[in-house]
Amino acid sequence: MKTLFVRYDSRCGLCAEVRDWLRNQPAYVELQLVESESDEARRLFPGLPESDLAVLSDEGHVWLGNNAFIMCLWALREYRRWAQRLATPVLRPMARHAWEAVSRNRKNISGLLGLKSEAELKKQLSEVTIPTCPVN
Amino acid sequence: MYIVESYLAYLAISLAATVLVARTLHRNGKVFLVDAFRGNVELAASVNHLLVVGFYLINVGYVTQALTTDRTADTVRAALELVSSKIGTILLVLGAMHFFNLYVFNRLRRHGEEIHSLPPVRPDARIAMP
Repeated sequence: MKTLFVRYDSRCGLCAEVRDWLRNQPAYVELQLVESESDEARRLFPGLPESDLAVLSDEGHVWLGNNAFIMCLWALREYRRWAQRLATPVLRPMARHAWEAVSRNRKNISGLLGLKSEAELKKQLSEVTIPTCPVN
Repeated sequence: MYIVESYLAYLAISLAATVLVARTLHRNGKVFLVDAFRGNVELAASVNHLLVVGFYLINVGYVTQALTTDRTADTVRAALELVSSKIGTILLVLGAMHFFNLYVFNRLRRHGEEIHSLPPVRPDARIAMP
């Protein structure tokens, strides 16, 4: 396995923050981060639920939600051991609950932390009306 | 009176102990390293050799550095005590170095296991790649 394609929610500020963090980590497996609303995401992840984090390997294996997040950690040099720990029978249910809690509330968490994705910023900027100067 | 004899005894015993520990390390470290490098025997042998060279340099360096003493060895008893205390220090240093080497071997092995580990979770689906 050489590459993992990671599809993340492009309308969530927290997800954009985690994406930037992932990009800056040294990795054993290359991570290609794909916005959920892009054509590439629709091409790579056909028929998979759009709301969830998804990871696709270059061998065609797909991981969703909590498993996808564990796979992202497994790809990173510094966090592979953490991924292996989180996948053990003892920690896996806890990791799943934590993942579900964060994933369900990601919009609220982004709002509380003041995090905005590029898509949200674009939408917000497009709604700004620039006042016109009165012409004499 | 017996100082030269003490020095010679110290050097002979310390160097013999160093060689003994280094040979043990070389012989048994090989198994760890072959596992760490996923069966790459040549690379394992090379790293093993380099580690043993480092071990020899540090230990022989310390043994020769710690040779001189201000204590006198006028009687056989004083000479024996001097040699014994000096060799005791050398053996403690050798022991510490030996455990440090074991730690390095184990870290290399764990690192090798980590790099080549399989995904910890089963895939949820499989799709045909273009």
